[in-house]
Amino acid sequence: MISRRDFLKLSAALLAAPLAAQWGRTTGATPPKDAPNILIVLFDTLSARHMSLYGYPRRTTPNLERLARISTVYHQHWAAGNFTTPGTASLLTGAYPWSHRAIHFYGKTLPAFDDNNLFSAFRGWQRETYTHNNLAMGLLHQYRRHIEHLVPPGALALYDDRLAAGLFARDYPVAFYSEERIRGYRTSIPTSLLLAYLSKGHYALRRKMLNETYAQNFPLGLPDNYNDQIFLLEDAIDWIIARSGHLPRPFLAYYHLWPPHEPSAPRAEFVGAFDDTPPGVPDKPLHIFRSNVPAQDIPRERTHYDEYLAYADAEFGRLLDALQANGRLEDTLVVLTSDHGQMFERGILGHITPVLYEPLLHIPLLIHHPGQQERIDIHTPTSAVDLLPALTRWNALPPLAYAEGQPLPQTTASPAGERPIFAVDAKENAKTAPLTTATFAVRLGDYKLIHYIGYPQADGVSELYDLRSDPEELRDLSRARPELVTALLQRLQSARKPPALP
Amino acid sequence: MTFFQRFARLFAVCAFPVHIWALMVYFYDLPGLMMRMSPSDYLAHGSYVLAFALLESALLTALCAALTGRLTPAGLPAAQGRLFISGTWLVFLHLLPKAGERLAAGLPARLVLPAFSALLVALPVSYAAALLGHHRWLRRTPHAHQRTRALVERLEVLMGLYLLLDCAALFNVLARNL
Repeated sequence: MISRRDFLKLSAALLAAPLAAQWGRTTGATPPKDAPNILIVLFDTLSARHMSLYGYPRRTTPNLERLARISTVYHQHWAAGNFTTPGTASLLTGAYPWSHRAIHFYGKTLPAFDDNNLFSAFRGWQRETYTHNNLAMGLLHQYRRHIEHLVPPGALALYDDRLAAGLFARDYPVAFYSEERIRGYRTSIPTSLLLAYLSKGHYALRRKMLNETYAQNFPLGLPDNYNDQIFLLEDAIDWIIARSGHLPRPFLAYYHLWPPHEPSAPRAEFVGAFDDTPPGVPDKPLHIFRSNVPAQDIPRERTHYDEYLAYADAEFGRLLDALQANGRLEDTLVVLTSDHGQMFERGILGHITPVLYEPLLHIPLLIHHPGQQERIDIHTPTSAVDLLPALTRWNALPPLAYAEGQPLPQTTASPAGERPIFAVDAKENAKTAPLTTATFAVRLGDYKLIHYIGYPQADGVSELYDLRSDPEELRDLSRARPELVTALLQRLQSARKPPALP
Repeated sequence: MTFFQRFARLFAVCAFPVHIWALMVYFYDLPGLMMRMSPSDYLAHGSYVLAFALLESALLTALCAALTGRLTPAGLPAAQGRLFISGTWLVFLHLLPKAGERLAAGLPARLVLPAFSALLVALPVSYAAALLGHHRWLRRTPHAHQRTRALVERLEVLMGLYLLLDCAALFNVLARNL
């Protein structure tokens, strides 16, 4: 009798050809000689502020600390947006959200980026992607002509009754969004008058049965991605392990995994693991953009998030062991990062918010270069838009005219942050019109400016923090240092120019 | 009346609430979609919605046809009337969550729950009253059957419009996926 795990491993080896035919296209370019493999593992919604690797009191990431011992660790790394679409799009294009314009839910980058992205830059590599996240899938689908093997989210799900991946693969993002609206996404009203309820009822029944089957291992319920796709992170990790041994060299693999994104569903051994360890975060004032959630829910959700993160870390540990065992760490550049963080303070729960505080922007970045045996710590502020220029430089590829980032520093002696980095939230703007309602964050050295425009509650409001002396962003210096506010706003203004697209 | 005519009349009654609801939600979403999607994408979304509405209407009609298989032409107006009322009240039922949101936004907190509860009670009561009223109307008024038929004939005109839109939608869905 073949087990589910064995089946996944077997399918990892066998599935590539038929899936590639359906989902991706092969460009047929010649791979460069001696080029390393590139493995990018992205945990969605992973805030560096919750990682023991970066000083969080709860021991959430012991396995990432193991990777850190043989990696370059970036301590001041920022996401370019505060939810999946802009954060991932910036990572994949090297451009800021005001340029790529993937600023909405289920949004895509401008058509100019169809052929200007991470995957188009690495022509010649065997390119493969998988994600649990359908927002990220929309972007990957947009770049599919440069991806040989694009695996849809449902492929590794325990339960997935979505039709879009099977019937409408060529038009996946729009078809998937339409299916969500027809069925009624979460609590939204479906466009279907009757059949949506059959589908919802079927899902609820299957979910209940699966939760009962796995109750011992997942007492809070099984992980799901808000799209009624139920999955086990273990299955994705098993599949990645199998793929890492089968993919032809050199490969570029991008795996975008859902945890620790809510709803938190930690495995049993992590439930209650931090009940006796306080998070060590000071009380902060309520924000004007606070969520409409009861205050007592926020600490509980924080704890569940930390437990879910510890579970994700344990699974990453299995992947790390496998990469060590199969020798992939010797010929593969491994990147561990996230697309954005998460908030459990100021009355804000989650990341769907106009604010841009550190828990939302500060994300991990660990890069293991092939054969690296020692840890290097980089404290220079860096951004998600810097990853693509760095990867191209390290692989002797030509610079990308459209990328707004700069190659990541590789040594501790790197210049200390004279270059500003940015983050944007601009959900409320039209796709191509000028941004009129948005939040911007600017980081220059130790200083961080947050600037709101267009909100009735906060139009033209700025906050200024010195992150070295005030990492929790509690003392707003904007009134004491107006000249610095003006200078940072000018840097922001001059940065918001469209990149040169070929 | 041929089987096809009876089926078409049943379809007209079933397609009405399904399409009205689908189009209502689509146009409710449309300003947001226009803000973030390209015109081809939001039209494609509308195409998927309408293509599914066609499928849902067909399934609903088949179900109703099966349930009313032994229906005689004389009994058809009563069945059509009941279907029309049920479909219309189903649309009202779908509006309940939005009504709740509006109540919560516009009323003092202490009045929201009583107002919403009143709506919850009013909906089934009004549905039962409409069904009963229609039943009595058919039995007591000589022209009731004729008027019900006249209503269904108007729905058939609308059905022609839906079918036209549905065909365009299907064509668009196929074009994007072939």
